[in-house]
Amino acid sequence: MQSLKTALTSLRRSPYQSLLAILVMSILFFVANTFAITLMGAETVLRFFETRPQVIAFFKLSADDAAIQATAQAIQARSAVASVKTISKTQALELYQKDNQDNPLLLELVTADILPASLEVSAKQAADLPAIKLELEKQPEIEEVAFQDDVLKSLLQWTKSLRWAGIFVISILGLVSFLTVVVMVSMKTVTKKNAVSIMQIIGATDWYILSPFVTEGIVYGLTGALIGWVSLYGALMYATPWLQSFLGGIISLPVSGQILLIQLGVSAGAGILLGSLASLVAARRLLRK
Amino acid sequence: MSIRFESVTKRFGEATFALSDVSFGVDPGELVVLTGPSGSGKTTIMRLLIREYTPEEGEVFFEDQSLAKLRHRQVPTHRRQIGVVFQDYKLLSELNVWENIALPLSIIGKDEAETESRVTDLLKLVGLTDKAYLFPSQLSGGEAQRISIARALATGPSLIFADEPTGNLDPAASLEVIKLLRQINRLGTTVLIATHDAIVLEFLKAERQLELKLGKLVHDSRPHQKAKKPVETKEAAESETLPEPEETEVESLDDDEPAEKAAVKKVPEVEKPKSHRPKTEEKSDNSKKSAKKPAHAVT
Repeated sequence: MQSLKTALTSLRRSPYQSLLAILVMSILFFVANTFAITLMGAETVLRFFETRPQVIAFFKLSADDAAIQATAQAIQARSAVASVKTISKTQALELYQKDNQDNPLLLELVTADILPASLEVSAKQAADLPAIKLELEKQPEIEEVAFQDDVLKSLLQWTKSLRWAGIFVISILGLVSFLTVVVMVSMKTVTKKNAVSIMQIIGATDWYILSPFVTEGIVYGLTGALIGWVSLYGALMYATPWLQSFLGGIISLPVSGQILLIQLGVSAGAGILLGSLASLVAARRLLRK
Repeated sequence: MSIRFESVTKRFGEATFALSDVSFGVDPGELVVLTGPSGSGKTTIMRLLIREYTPEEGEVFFEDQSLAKLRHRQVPTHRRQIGVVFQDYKLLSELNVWENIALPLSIIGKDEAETESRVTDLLKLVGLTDKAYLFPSQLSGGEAQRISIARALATGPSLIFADEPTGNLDPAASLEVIKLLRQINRLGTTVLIATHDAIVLEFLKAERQLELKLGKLVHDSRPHQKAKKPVETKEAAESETLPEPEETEVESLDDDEPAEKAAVKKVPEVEKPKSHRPKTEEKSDNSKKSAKKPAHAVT
């Protein structure tokens, strides 16, 4: 309690330095939380596409029902496959008619005989799709395999890039925040050098001397984490209507309270850790002098 | 023996000797004057005692504990047994008088009520109760030094080391401070005064004196003796006008030094030699009682 009082007094006595440290921390946590939310969203989008039929295999027109069922079962048995849906010729015609119900001319010309049966295969992970495609192509009754791998490839690439960009930006910002707190606390320790040497002579333990500085670092980290989180929450609330129309039903918005609370907890923990470590590094140098 | 230096040598660099083969001992309850010109090694002795320095050769003992064997984490506890008074007072300018005296108590984790009572007693002892809420910059040199002494006494140390305590003071203030230190000594605390102030040396000429020159101990006025209170001059006795402390009781405020232990340790050694006791005619009943107790326990 005493060290908190001392730390708050120190914050009050050097408001601009404190403001800078808190601002840098806030930016760090705003960016980190934004990346975390974006990555979570990207993962959800990826999962959405992964659970859609991603590979469609068209049978030869001569393929009978038994051969179609046998092929479906063989594909379903693979561990990477999430689901297999069989579309018979009749079902294919129904779908065709549904899709073209506004164009009677097209409907007149098409019968079930000229439409191939097909298999719609979903993978558990998008990365397994090329292997499933190859497997389907090996099947004797299958004539053609449609696979929109370019879309998934770019989606995977985007998610991966986003993840690496996030790690890079957060690392840089984390380092900048760490160093900012180290510099701020170091500046304050210099002004306290005389007081510290007196305290050492009258029997203060290292921890007694360090604790106000560490508390100050914790205040920077915690305040920065809270401001960063509140800013993100505000921005998210503001952008929710636009995001809803843009992402459709892929991601359910607004973001659940549970996720935001977890994010707040993790941010607060990271803020405390970062602030206390940085100030400890700065203040320990004072004790060594 | 309270303090023992055994063939202690302290060097700074290869050729600069701060202390060279210094040996002496100080008994509990003694008042010893360390004298010698600037650079003779008086402050080095203080720094060795608080384990800020360690000697290159020889060994320093404090209450029969070798300071070289102290672990880093034991050093703060050791330092709480020694109250250091500096020439430049070393009061924290951002704290007021009350907070400065309370600082050592805060360090050892005393609660507010105990701190309040303790600081009040110490302010009474140094006669500055009316200055409690002033800041160091608002005090005269003599007052600041008395506050520094009060702070040094706060944790109930068994030794007070005053390093040139009158260096920044005028003669009148110097005498006040020295009388206060002697009064504290009479209450049972061992006191070492490092000084080359002629007024102080004249005032304390009857006390044991250790003379240092270029890092060597060149003279010990009472070597290897149990501390004996010298017969004081009449003038000196008459000039003792500082208020006597109201009452004392054995009480170590440091958690690491229980009161009972401090009492057992201190009282017999202080009382043993009759000649060690101050002149009884100068003492009030209170101070007689308090002579058995450490000065830091004024209540």
